[in-house]
Amino acid sequence: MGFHQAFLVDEEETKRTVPDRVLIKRLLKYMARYKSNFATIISLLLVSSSLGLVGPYILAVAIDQYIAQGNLSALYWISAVYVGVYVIVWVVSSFQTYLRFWLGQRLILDLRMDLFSRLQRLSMSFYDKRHVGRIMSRVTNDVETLNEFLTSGVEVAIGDIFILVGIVVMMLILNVQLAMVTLTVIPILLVGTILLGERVREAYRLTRKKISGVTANLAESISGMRVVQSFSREMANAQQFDRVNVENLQANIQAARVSALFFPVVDVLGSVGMCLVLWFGGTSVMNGSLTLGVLVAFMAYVTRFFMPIREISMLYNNVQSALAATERITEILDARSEVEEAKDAVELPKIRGEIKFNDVSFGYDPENSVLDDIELEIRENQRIALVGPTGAGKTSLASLVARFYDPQKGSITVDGYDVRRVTLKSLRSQMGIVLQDPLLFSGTIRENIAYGRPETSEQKIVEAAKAVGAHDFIMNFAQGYDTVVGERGIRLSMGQRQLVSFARALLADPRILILDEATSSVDAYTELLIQNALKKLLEKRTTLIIAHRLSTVRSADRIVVVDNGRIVDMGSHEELMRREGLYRKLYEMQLKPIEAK
Amino acid sequence: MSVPIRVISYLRRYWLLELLVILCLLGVTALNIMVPYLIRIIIDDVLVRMEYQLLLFLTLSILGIAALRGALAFAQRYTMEYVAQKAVYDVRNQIYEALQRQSFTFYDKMPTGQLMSRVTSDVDLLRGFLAWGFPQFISILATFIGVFTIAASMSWKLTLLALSPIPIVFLITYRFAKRVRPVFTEGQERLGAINEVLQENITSVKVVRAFAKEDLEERKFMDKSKNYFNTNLRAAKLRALHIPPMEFMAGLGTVFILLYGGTQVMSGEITIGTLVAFNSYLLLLLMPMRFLGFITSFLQRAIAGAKRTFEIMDAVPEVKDMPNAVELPPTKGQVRFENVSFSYGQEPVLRNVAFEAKPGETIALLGTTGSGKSSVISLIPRFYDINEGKLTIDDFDVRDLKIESLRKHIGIVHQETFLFSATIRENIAYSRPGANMEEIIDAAKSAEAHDFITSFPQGYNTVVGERGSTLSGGQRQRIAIARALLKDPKILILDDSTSSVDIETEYQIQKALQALLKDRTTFVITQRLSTIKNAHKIIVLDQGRIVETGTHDELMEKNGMYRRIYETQLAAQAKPEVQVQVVKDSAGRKTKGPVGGAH
Repeated sequence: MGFHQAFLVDEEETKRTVPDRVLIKRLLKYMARYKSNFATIISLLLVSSSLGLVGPYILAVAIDQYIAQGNLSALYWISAVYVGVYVIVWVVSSFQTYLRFWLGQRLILDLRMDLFSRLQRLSMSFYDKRHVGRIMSRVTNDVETLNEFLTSGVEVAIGDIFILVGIVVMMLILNVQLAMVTLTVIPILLVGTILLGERVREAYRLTRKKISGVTANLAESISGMRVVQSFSREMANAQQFDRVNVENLQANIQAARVSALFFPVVDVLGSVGMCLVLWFGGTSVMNGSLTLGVLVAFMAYVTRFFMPIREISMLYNNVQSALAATERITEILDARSEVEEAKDAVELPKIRGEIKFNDVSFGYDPENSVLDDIELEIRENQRIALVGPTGAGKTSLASLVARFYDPQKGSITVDGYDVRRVTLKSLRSQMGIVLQDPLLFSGTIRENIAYGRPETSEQKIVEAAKAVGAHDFIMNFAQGYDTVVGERGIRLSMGQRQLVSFARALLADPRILILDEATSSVDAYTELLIQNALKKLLEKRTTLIIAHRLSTVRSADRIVVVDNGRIVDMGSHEELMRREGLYRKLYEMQLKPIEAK
Repeated sequence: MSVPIRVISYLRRYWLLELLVILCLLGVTALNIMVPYLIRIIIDDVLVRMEYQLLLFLTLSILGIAALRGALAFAQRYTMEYVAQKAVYDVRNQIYEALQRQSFTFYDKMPTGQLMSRVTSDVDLLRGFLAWGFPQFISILATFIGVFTIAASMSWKLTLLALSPIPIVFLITYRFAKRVRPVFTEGQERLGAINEVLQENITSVKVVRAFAKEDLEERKFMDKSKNYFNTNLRAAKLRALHIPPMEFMAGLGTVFILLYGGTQVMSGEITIGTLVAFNSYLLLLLMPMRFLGFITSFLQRAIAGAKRTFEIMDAVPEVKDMPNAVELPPTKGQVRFENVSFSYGQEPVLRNVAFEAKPGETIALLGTTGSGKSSVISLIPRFYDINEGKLTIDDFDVRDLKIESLRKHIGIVHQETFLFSATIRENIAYSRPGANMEEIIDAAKSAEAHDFITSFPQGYNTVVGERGSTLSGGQRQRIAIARALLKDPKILILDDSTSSVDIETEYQIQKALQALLKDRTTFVITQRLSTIKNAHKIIVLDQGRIVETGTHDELMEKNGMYRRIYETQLAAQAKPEVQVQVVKDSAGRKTKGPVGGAH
């Protein structure tokens, strides 16, 4: 089973379109938040770098003036200076290292939080189209990639540039001619870097894509492991994983090939520089126009010159990787939510619970509409049931009320407020939704029940549990309400999970309650047990029930029959039975005997 | 075996390439060491004696050496990364296999997010160790030995003095490594925790939105992220304390050379060329020394990651094949529970469960939620092991059977349908990848899924989204039934308590179930009354114990729990007058097809 692009968005396929400048600007914007820290780090770096530059100069002086002339006391003095310099570098280095890491980690933290926050605002359609694994990869893998870059990269780069400039200056001070000769190597280096750079970049982009594939496969396999084992699919799955694994391997090897070239090239150029110094400098010493000390100093500088170059080229590889990661991260940061809160959204006041569908048409995919021309008015505290064949559009109807999606045509109003005009929080916090799949969080039972109102008293939590008939089984656990339910509530049976999710909804005390096949996972016997509680649950609220079990549906004030995206009939159970339409047909089908073959 | 050694052992497969790498490394080191030597000659002999020709020759030699070194360096780097990537590839596959071996309990305890953190992030650290940390380490070692040798041959006094700070450097390194490793381990754990929250959040996005709990989720995430941040700060502090002194020590060596070497030059014991060469050598050593601190911290982090990776690989599955496990031969389908008790952790779930299913029988399990029905059926394919008693299939104790062969004979339709992101066809063929289209269509037809599948524009090639989200509950269930049918198992487990379908589909599933239940030993948890009524045996569970057993008629007469449940369910599904008719009509003869009347 591959990852088919037909339905799912595979943005990985699109070539990198965002230019480096833009990405770097984004990253710098994050850094700008910590301007003062950044400035401190840079200053400290500059101090330690400049002190580092002094070394060869001291050496030159020592050789030419003190050693050559046998001046011992001066030698001692200059050695002391040397030591002093190193001590200062030690202290400065300590502070600078710590600050650098602090800043880097802070930036990572900020990035992660921003990503997470953004994800909280994106609408359901974003999630429908993407694998969980790939979304996760951005917040984890891609952000970690930036770690190295942000922790050391930027500051070190600035420090190194300073060193390079400083060295050039020092060389020019010592001997202009020799300096010019030495620096001829630089243009060649630049050209090489640029040419190679593009290839390295592409290679790294590919590796990030492939690791994302590995992550996605893993996420699915792990969450579906029970099915995998039920069907003894271990071998087939391993082969499939191997395929993505191999792709990842190949991408990385390709990247290795290109980036392995980098350092050696820089090294060789460095040696060319050194040889130039030796040749020209050597001949100059031999014909007396240059002192030995200066030559030695020059050799030291040349060596020192190529150290930061190597660091920068090491950084360069990091940068490519980091930029590729940044691009993927900014995709999420810039993603537009389809359902977005209006800028001037108002708070929805405490509602009575009137819902109106005004000529609504909707489709998950704009081409295929799922609902057409829906006109429906629900008064406060009414209990409405939606019935109809599978795929008729019932769940979609319910999703629109909570504004999980926006209709293409028409509007939905709550107490007269268009749901698109109010803040999402004020809208949804007054609604309760119980889905067919309970979706509990890994935590205690208590935490799960109180999810909607974390500050609730213990008493209210127990009350809610009792009301839905969950209290007894909870108390049967050794740890009662403190029982940890495990990922997705795995420690509880399906029915128990659903009861907890009922309690959760009850506790939130919403004015509008939507039950989307909520009792499907609970057997009829249990449902009967909670029927009374359910009766209470449904009292004094506007309720929208989607269910197939007739007992649930029958007691509704009004039953809305939906077929093929349209409302085909409406009325109470008795009325609809008399009418002999789709409802009656469906109803009798449920009781119809199966002919023996 | 210690963790670093174990990590390195992954290179064993590629030992020839490793040899190449090491040779290249040594070559590079040797060439590096030659250069200062040549420079010494230049300074001492050539310049003084004004030998232009020799100068040119030596300079070009240095260039040649550099070119050769570059080639070797490229070969070394590329090969090293190549080998490291391959090793990591092996590691990933091994972890994957280890994960597949683990039984349900493992997955109940370890959240998906944590697991993923291990297989991606931790494994990546391992790669860094192999590709970078390890070769750097060797390089430093080789350089050190080489430099020491040559420098000592020039002036052993100066060598000793210049290298005197080194032992202190090693001491600091050792102390740093010891203190920083636990911090890194904690760091990786906390990273895992971040993953966990993230994964849950993304999977349960509907609930988060529905309850408008975005803020709460953000706080949760911030909490975990902050923890990770704090741990990393502790590591940073350690770095800041330990690494600069190492650099200082290295610098001290330079001063010693200058001072002592200078006086030696002045007293004529050594030449200036030697002094300069010494300085170059020290520089050669200095660079890796600067890295030593960095490398150490990296290695520690990598080891912490590797350890977590190995934990998964070494995890012993709770349910695994016994040493002499046998294959289950084509089974008749007889299943027997003898006094079985089962606890989930501390919580007892089943107590003294005993019953027998003869080949071809349908056993219906009933009981309130949490009474242990799902647990009973999850014991049969050995998803969990029982604590007491015996569970046999055809008189084979399931613990004596090879798990794979056991499960090949059992078909399962889970309560929660999990479909993979793939085409419908691939999902149905999941149980038998080799099945041809005809067989797949047959299975789909029997499962009453063929019609709706062909109503999609792409038919069997329609892709279902992750977790099968584009299909309705009823459609997913029927695909799951087709999946099980294709396997054609002798033993069938049907956890069907989700009546998540509309009336019309319910009817169709009924028909599909008819096909499914024929000639198989079936264990079914269901609410469909027709299925229950026609079961050969009905087992009623309450709080982990069997409270009633028998046929429908027997149990109705007993007037106990079963009757209560039955009448409740019936009442829940039909009008009162219809119910009365049903009760009177039901003839209660045991056939495989449902008798007329309501479910």
